[in-house]
Amino acid sequence: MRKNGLIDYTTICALVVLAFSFVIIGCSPKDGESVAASKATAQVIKNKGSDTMVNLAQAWAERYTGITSTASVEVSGGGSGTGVAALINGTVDIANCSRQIKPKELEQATQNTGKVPQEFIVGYDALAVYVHHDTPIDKITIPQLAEIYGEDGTTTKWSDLGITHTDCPSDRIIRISRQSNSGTYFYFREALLGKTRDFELGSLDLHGSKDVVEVIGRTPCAIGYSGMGYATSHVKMLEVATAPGEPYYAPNLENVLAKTYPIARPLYMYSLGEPTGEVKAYLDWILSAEGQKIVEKLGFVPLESD
Amino acid sequence: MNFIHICFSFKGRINRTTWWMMQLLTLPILLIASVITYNAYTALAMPILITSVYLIPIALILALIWVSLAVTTKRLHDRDKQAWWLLIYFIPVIALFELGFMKGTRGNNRFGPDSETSSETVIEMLIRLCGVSAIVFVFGIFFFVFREGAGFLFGGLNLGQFLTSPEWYPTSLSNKRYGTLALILGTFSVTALAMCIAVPFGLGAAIFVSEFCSPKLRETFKVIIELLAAIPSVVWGFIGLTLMNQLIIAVFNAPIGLTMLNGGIMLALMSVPIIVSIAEDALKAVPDSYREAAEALGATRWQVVYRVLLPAAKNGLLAAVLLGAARSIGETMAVLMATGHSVNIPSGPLSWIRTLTATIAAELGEVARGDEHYQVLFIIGILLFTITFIVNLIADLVIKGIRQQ
Amino acid sequence: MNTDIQVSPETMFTETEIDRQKRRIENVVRIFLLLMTSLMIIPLLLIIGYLLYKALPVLSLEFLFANPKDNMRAGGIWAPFLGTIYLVVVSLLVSAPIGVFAAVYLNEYARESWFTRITNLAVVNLAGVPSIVHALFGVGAFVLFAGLGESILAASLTLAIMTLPVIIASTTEALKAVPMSFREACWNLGATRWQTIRRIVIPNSISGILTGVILQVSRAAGETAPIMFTGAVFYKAIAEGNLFAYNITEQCMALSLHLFTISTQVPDVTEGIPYGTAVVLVGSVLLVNAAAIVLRIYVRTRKKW
Repeated sequence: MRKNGLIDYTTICALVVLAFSFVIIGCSPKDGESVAASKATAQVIKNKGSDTMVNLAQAWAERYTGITSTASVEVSGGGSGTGVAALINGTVDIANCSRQIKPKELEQATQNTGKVPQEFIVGYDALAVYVHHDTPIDKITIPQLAEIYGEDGTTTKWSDLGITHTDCPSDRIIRISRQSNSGTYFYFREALLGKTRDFELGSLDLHGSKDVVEVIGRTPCAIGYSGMGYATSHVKMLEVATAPGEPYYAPNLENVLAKTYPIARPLYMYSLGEPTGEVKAYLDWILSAEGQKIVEKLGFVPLESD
Repeated sequence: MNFIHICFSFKGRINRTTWWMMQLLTLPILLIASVITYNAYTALAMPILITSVYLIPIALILALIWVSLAVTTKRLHDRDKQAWWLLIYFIPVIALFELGFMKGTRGNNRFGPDSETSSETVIEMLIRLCGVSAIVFVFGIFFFVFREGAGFLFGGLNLGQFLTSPEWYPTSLSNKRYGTLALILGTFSVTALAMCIAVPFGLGAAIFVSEFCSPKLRETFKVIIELLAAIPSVVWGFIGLTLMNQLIIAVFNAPIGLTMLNGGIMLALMSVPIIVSIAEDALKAVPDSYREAAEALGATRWQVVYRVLLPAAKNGLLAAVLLGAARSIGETMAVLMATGHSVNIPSGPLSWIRTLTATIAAELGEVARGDEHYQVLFIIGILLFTITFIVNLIADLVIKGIRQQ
Repeated sequence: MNTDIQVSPETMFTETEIDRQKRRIENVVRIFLLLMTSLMIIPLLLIIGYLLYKALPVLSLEFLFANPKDNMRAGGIWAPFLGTIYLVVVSLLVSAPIGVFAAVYLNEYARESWFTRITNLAVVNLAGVPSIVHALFGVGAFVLFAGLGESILAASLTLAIMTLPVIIASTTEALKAVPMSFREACWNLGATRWQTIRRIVIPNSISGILTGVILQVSRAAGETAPIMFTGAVFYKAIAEGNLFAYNITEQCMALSLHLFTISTQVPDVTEGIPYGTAVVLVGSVLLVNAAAIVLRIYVRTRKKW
């Protein structure tokens, strides 16, 4: 049958085994050669955590790669919880967190890795309440939002808020939310409802901050929340007051820095132990004027510059 | 030379192929055994009864070291060298060259006769192992998914609430509730909708392709259907998010186009190729004598299809529908992006829903390992695995039923 | 009119009213079924056309070979593209040998028995396990238990197991197509089972086996869910144009996940970029599939038996 032995199966098998052994060599970190090779190029700083911060972290990483040749930054999202979990397991250098680390987690990390996580506030994030830009409403109070979003809330129609929304014939408020374990969801829920009440089910739980704004931009009936940096021309941000009768504040730099805008939170980065070497250089650069410029560019609020 | 001899004896010779095959055979086992042992060391706090189970892999590793020495010794014999040459192991590249690439001496040598054919038993063993690997993997999937979720499944989860309550509050601070009814209904409703679209079209196309087509046209259609099957699910999701979203808003005047209908259409397009190919196989399996007999009685093509082929192939067609449905139930990215992702008891094609698969995909990234919520997501995984397993099993039995007829 | 009971040859072949009606129904059915079939095909063309049309402004070689930049709002897709190649190649190295050997076992060695039935059933079920369950398995087995962490290796192994049935199915088909008489002739010459497989069966079905391997590539390249939690990242900076930029123990970007993130998470992306990414993804998958189809047709035309 076989006229010419083009394929020598022994050779193929040999190649496959070779490939296998490369895989294995690749996955054993003790192998001196491969580690040395990767060290020679650049040290990898692993950065993981909050989805809110992932764009920011990515922007930093991208810019930083252009500045230094001794370190490269690997960014992944997944949420604040993932970041902290990775910190506890000691698998990241820096964890991004849009909430403060819990005492229990701090203790776990210290126990597991022998190093105490160090906290850095790297910027602020204001959650803006978005509606479609044709919606005849400019201001809203926290209790009103709580009735819209909260479990067994009483506000389900736009007319309940005292407005007539002509672009929304069904009059029904379409609630846009985030998946239930994102840092944004947690923070917004706590800001609105405290720790005891839950959100009403049936909202559209979208996967990304951008998704929220885009859907609202196409949907006159919708209301939603997302970082203030995500605003587009199709949506508008509402001014928010803590209670009826209190002054309304728009989500902008001054109000967040003055701590008058009620739904704003600090953004944290945690390193394992006192940062050293490349990790310290990176964190220092983030806190420098240049790093903070990127914070502002992405629609977050930079730290106060003295 | 039998397999036991190759593995454990230090006498005789083996050729290069056998040596390579033995490496292929032992390496994965060695890897798995070391991983298990490593895990045993990190989990020493466990009761001794459980950790003693881990003695098995340690014994396995010791056995494998023996095997490795035996095999290499025999290979060295083949090169007409004594066993002390085993020290060559410490010279990495040359060892590989000497053991893996150099031919043995021709004819008999002081260690035994030529070794040309000794590789066969090992290769056959390797083939057998690969053959049963599918069983190992299916069990492995169940085991590891179960392992992550078991703690909460048996300790604390209210199974009744899990299956019958629509309240999905995995992250509530005051009152965590893990009810998946809305998600289960979401999965089934979007699958049902997808099947309503896909089954008539799929069966229609299968009938057309197998009975009404010229051979050339048939090949073309089959190629196109195959290409349709190849489009990645994330691309379908993207289409749902952009194109279909706008279409639904425009056509139905709906406030949001990310609905069950959107997801259903995407799933229908994804499962149609499966339905077509399996249904076509089923129609092909009906013997030509049936067609000929019917045509001889004066029946038209359509009458043949309607009166003869459909009844004769009904099991195969049922299997096609079942496998299409299984595909829809298991689909993740498309429904995550296109259905609105909202915990709702579905109330119509334009309502927003959330499926079991999308819930895992959206929430697994943000849970801490070992958390209750994390374990519940794995329990949902078990549920999905069970559902698709049963559907696939039924489809398989249905198909086997035809074969036996 | 012929009132005679006897049917003459002429009247037998002229159309009666019933015949005409039958023919009309037949035609209607034919057209209806053709419509149904084309209704499935039209979406494929429409979708590809739509994606291409939207992607046209950004599509260029530079798009493929440049990294995403400006917070992934602009630039190209080099890093995710290379990541997908890594994932596919590593998963192929694992699943191709196992898959081919498994098919050889099922087709050449296994006898009719309950065990063979279970093995076959396992293959079918492995193909039916939802991709997100594969992801859970990958997390449980490779990332956590085996301690590989989230890495290219863990993701590839998950993909390999997921795509195994693709290779097994098409290899089995290819092996089945080799006539039994070939094997029997070989056995009669005194060849052993493995010699027959190696010298006769595999050389005669090598193109079919390759088809299966190619299909595995296309399947692995498109999957998102299994790699989301096992090894693909949101962003990773790598050198442009360096084929060895990724390390197998680290994470990588992937084309499919990149499409998901830029279409749901990254704000203000240049409009064409998600479409461009989708086109590259669909394009490469379809190209690979087309290669498999061409190979199959080529084999069929030069079949010797």
